[in-house]
Amino acid sequence: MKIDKMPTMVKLLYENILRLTRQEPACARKVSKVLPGNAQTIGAREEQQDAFGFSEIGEENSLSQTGVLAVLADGMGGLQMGREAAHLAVQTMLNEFAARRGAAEFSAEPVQQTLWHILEKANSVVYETARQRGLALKAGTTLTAAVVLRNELFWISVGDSRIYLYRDHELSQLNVEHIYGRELDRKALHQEITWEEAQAHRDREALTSYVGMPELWEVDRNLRGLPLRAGDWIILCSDGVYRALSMEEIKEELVGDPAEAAESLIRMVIDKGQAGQDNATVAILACE
Amino acid sequence: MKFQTATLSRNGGRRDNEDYIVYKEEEGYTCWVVADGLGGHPGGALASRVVAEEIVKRFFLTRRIDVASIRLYMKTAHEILVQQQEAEGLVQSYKTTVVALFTDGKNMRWGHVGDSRIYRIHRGSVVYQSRDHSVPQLMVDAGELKPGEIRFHEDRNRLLRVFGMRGDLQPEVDKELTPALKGDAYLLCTDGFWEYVTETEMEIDFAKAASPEEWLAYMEERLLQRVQLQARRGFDNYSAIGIFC
Repeated sequence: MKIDKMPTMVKLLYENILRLTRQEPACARKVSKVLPGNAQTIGAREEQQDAFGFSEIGEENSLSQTGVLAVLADGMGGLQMGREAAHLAVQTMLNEFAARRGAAEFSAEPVQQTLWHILEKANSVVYETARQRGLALKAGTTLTAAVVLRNELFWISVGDSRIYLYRDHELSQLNVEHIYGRELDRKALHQEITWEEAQAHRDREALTSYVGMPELWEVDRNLRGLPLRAGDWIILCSDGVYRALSMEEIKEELVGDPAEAAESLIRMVIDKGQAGQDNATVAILACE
Repeated sequence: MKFQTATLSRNGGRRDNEDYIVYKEEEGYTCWVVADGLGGHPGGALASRVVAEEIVKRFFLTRRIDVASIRLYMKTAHEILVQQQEAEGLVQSYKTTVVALFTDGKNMRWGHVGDSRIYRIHRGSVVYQSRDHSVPQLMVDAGELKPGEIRFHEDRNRLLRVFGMRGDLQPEVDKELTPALKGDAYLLCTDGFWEYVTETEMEIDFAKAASPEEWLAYMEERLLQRVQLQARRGFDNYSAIGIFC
């Protein structure tokens, strides 16, 4: 019997058996809504140098037309102007995103390209502001941004903040961090140094790329949209979160309402009370 | 259809690399093979090379991608391996898994034996992955285990079918012919690779990659990080072929 001649129930059953035997994923439900969540703590520091923000969510067309944007920045600790750099970068990203996605002349621009342009803008704003104050290359920030547009995710990231995708109880990191440790690991892979040397190097965590350099340097981003399913969560966080909590601990909190989940993640960071706890910030986009 | 191919094969934490990868393109016909030799030095490395090369050779003699032909390439390779074992009196010591992908430029078909895998990415998502011929896969089929839990199962290395085993070999060849579509990607890899890279991560790194070389490089970085968190010494060889259509 041909599949199109089968009664509906039998056809459904047959298709399911086909799918099972081929181990294809169930037809994933489309994303119809995005819910934000966020929280932060100053930790044991004197100043909050993390910043974050969301584009306007709620308008019906934001998911299907402009996309929903989340941005997170971690001003560079120990540097002057760290707090301002983070806020400037986030604000520039939000303003430029709204302007560009709302403008008719950019209506055909792929969102990856929008992200690239607004990141360039944020970079030059931070660099110029610092330069005018005689602080060029002494101020900077990490910057991580994610956009959910229709059923796809786009991201862009510079520095060592992280973006995770939480799906089916699995937490997967989307970006690579721009730290010297990556270069050390590459050298170890090619046997120029040993793995032990790479691990023990004192500059492992030094940033190799950040916002506030004369030009964008290393940038992590996707070139094709990552297909999303209802139930996926996107989690942006500063290193103050992932250095305090293990992947397992983070996963445990990712249930229920994203706003509450963000709060409980940060509460867990505070409860750990690590000596010298860095600023910690989390921003969530939960797809429904 | 033009294909971009990248390959990767490394010792991992072992002295010898018993994996073997090969691909060949000729007049629009292409065949990609990944094999994971078993049984230790020197049998494993020999088995994976002999079988993979034999499959490529057989394919280019007829250039057919129907189910029967692909089964025949594999069965012939198996018999040649068994003969070689017998000639050298090393019965049962030459074994290998294989996953192989064939195309006539318009359509693709694949086959495998053992726990080396093929994944197909379509519109950015993993839409197909092969089923291992292993004990934990049987448990998945029986509903006792989730597919993702195969990675950590204690019986993960217990294979039910391998080249070089006693008796008749039943290669599994996909019954459906899959069109070669621009934008699709394929990943062929040994268990030393897929053990440390999840399907979601394959999708993530595909979304980032401008070329199959980049795709494999991103995934290898994850693999090495994960291995570092566990024991560095003694981890398996790992090999992969990435194909962009």
